[in-house]
Amino acid sequence: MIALDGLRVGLDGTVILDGVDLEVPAGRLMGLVGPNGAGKSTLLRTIAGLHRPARGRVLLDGRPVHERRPRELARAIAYLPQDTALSFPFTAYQVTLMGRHPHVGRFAPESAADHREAERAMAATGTTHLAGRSVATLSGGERQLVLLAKALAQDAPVLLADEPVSALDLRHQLDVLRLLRACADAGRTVLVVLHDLNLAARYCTELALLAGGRMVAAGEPARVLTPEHLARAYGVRAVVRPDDATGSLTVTALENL
Amino acid sequence: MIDGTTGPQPTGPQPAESQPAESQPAGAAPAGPPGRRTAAAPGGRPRRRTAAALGGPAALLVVVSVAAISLGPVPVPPGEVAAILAGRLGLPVGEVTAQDALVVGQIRLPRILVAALAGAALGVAGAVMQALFGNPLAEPGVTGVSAGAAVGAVLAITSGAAGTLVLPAAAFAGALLTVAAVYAIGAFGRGRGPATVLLAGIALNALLGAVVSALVANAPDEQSLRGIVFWLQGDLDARTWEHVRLAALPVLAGVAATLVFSRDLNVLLLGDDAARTSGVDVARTRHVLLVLASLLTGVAVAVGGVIGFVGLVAPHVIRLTAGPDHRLLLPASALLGAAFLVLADTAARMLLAPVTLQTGVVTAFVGAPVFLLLVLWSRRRAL
Repeated sequence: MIALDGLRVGLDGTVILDGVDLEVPAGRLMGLVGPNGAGKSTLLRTIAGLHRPARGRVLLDGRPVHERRPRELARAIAYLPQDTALSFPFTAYQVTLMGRHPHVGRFAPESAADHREAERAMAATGTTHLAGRSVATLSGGERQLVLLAKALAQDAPVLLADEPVSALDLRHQLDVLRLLRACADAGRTVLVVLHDLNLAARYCTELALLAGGRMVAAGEPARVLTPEHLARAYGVRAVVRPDDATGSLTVTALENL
Repeated sequence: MIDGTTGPQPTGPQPAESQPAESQPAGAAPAGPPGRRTAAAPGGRPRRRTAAALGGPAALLVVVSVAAISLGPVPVPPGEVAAILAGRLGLPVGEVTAQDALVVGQIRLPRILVAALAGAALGVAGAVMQALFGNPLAEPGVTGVSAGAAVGAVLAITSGAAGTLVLPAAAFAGALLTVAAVYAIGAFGRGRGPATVLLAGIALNALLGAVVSALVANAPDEQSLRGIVFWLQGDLDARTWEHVRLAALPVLAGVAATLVFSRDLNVLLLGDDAARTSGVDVARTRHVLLVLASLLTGVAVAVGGVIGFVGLVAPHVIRLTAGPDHRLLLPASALLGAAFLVLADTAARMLLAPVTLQTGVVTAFVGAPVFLLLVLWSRRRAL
């Protein structure tokens, strides 16, 4: 369970987020949506403990995130950044295994259980065939999947993913979102930054719509994706209706307001 | 529900099972056992790979050292070298001449041990700097850290305070200050690319070189002048057991302490955010490792002067042959750095005999072309 109360986050003197309240119980897949510059990534990074809030707190099971030591925090929260530098020629398997870092003792090698976890994460993300490849030679999409495998191998009850499908083709977008949903259904708390509102409405159990550093609406997709909210957040006139094929909501932007 | 111990059971297998359709085309299901083996090979570090990565440089170090001890104006056959070494360890084997025992025991052995210790220190310091500065070209000489250590040592000499322990302490302090400067400049110029560290190194090398020149101009007498010039062009001539005693403990302890952080260094290569959210205390780890790299560089400079490129050549050869995992890279770089410097020092003694070159000259002959190669390479592919 993640709870934010009155969160304000500033970066280099600019207020990026202000007055953000949010509760995400375990077992939910929450999509963070909103226009560019709304503060979605900053919110995710603050929950991950990478920014210290200027006001308010990020509570994980009732305890502030920034009071925890990195190792303890990494066992509780796995974070998949938007882009990760991978310039040294580690193999995809080595990178995935790094997800086990907070579980492995300083003077011990990875156990058989750690290797099993890594192999399972690669199988779940469909990256097993890349195991022996150097990550420096992977395509952007393959790299994103390997980093997702690393985050899964970390086996934390909270999973944060910043635009995990941005570099993926249609087929892999569905794979990854279904995988994240399965993680949530299995009891994890999953927060994911998404740009595609239709995918978000289809796979997320709830949405949080941010604009200009403030929360516009949060809750079930049907309560968040309304023409009024979309007008306020994106400045567009939009229609929202159930999709014939999937049954979930689709958003069509008609014109800029 | 949010509990690290109960998490694995329900969450782990679930996604995998819920996705048989997707994982199949990816090759997970049909690839069964062979897939598993390919998965374990690169990261699982099978013993054979570890043994080859460490055994190769170790064997090279032994061979090079024995050859180095037997070569010289007074040749000592390798068999006799072995006998003398065994004798020093308290295992009297065979007859050796008193002169050979003296040459080996008092002249060549300490020199080679100093070379090995300095080489190991520089090899490890280079590998650590490459990871911390995120730049495959970083190493003690290039970043100016060796020059900083030299300035520290020269200041100790010219101020007349060059006691047995003062000199290495001053070299360490000089290295530490320079590392701090490089780090601060790198942090300040973040986002301006990894070249920042190299440009800072150029500036610092020029600045520190100017400081040494000023000190040379003010040298009180010819003896201290010779002392100062020694630091500028690293040399292992006339090393004694005193130098060995001075370097042995800090180098061995420094390398051992660095090894403790090898997995953290791996994760740090993914970037600060990824490292922190993977459980690495990024700031503290960086600081500890920068101090350790300074210590290793300071000790190496204190006993051998500025010897460049060892920290560049050794880690890169290991990366090419054994991969970037620091758990192998660091110890193997220590062994290969040691072997490389012993070899370079022997070449310095023997190549133009009876004229001897300075050791740093030989490492530069080998290292500078490697540096250029890496510059050209890193433009084409990620290192």
